[in-house]
Amino acid sequence: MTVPRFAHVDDTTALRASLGLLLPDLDFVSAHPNVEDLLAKRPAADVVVLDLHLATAGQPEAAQGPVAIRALVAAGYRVCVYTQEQRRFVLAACLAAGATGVVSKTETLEATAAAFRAVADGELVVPPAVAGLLEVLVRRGSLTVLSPRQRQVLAARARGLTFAEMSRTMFLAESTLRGYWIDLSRIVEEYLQETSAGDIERALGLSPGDLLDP
Amino acid sequence: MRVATLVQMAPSLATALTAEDRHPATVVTWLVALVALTVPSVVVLLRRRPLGPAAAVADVAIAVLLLVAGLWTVPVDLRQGTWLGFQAGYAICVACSLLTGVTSRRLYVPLLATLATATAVYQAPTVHRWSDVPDLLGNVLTILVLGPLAWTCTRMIIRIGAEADEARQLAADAARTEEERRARTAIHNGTAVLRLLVETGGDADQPAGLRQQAEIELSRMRAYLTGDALPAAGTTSLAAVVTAARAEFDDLPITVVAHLADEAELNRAVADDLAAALRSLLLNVRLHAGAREVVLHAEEHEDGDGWEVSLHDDGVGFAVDEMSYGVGIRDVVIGQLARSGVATVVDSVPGLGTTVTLTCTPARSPARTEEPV
Repeated sequence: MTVPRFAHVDDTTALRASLGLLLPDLDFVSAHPNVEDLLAKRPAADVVVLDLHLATAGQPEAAQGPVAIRALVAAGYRVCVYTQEQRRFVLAACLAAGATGVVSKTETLEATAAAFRAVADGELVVPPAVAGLLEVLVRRGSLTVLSPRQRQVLAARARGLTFAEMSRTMFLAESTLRGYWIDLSRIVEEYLQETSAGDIERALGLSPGDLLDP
Repeated sequence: MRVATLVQMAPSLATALTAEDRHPATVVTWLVALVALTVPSVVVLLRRRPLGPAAAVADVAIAVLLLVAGLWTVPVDLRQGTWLGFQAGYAICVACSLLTGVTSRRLYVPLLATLATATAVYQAPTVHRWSDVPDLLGNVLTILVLGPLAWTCTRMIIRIGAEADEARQLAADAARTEEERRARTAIHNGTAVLRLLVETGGDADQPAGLRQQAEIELSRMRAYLTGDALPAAGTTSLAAVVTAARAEFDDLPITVVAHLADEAELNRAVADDLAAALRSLLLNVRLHAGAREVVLHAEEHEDGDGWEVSLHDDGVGFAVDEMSYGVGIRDVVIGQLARSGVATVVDSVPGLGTTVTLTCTPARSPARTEEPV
């Protein structure tokens, strides 16, 4: 099994310099102040850890948010958004743009490392608020191809339960539950690629543009 | 019964005592009978409970003596159908009154049999031919049937009374327990908020929602003390209740996931109970859990029948033991919500966190008991 490689994009110099040191078990191959720099250098990374807000006074033209995610996904990278942003529709827009994971900067280092690894494995990593939005899409018939078990796992994630807690109540091994979640991740990824933002907005009861323009 | 017998005997008293051919002992028998009828009645009225077996034995003994004395003091032709020969009526009265104070069948049956036998002996001389036998038999059977009937009715009344006393005691205990529960419910969250106000010290250090919580709990406690009802009209949505609960605890890392609860309507009384329960649970999280992430999830059931709210924290957790629940979980959450048909499940594992799930299924819900608070 190959060790996943990570590239880091963040406008904060101190964070770019320190994240690799703080997560020594992960292989960070490069760090960039913006997506344009990364795409120019094309580091050999599997996952790009991406800060959401990159357009600052120092680099006002930098691509950010869903635009930056789409550019990285188009370049063949898997994207994990690493942000302090908590608005669920903004985070949902990141998933709609192709991000595989959304990790809060308030997480502990252990949880952060685990989440980055999960994204590298193709697992959908989302906070409960965003899992709740997926639940809405399922309930309203927009996301229809989930099995009953996958729906159960999604509901548990939306309630904040860990796989260990799910394992106790659903009488299934954690690895089995992770398997359901990875399958679900693939289905959600395909759904997000095939479904227009407008359709998702309608399913969520949002106004046109709410998801596109966080 | 004894007073009625006394009243029935009264008109014959003068005739019995003034008859020229009366036996010298007649006066004594009437006096004994009058005293024996009056004294136990007065004593029973004063004690407000029946006399015991000893009094019943004495009563039967007096009745038997009067019957035996009647063999000499009452002419044979007056021993049936007259109150001049009061002994037979007196025996029926004893069978139906004082003897009912006997609880043991082993004592009751011999006493009743003695009384019936004495009556038969007393009235036996009235039988001159076969056609007189039914009258004698009827009088004896009156004692043997009416006596047990009165005894059974008395036992039944006493048992009903005892059960009524017991029921009244249970009702009083239940009322006291309910009042204590209401008091605990009314002041539990208030005491927790007061504790936080004291512990956080100055205004600058206090969580922003703490003052709002204090005001809400103050209203609840005031309503309890005055007996006034909190406003309970109208409806609200489940999403609004959980969102409002989150707003009161903005110092906690709470994520509210309530998109599926927007259309679930709650009446105000249930909403108030749910809000109080969530407040109590979140106070516990604030005080004890040490949680890094708290998720408050609410949804209407997919079939539209009921709703579910879950509160999950990734804090220290605890070993679930219903016996060790505090006032908050036991009364404010489980007890109060159960009155609205909301079931509570607490699942917690030390080191993993705690999940409390509140489920309302209207089909199983009882009509909510309204109360002042």
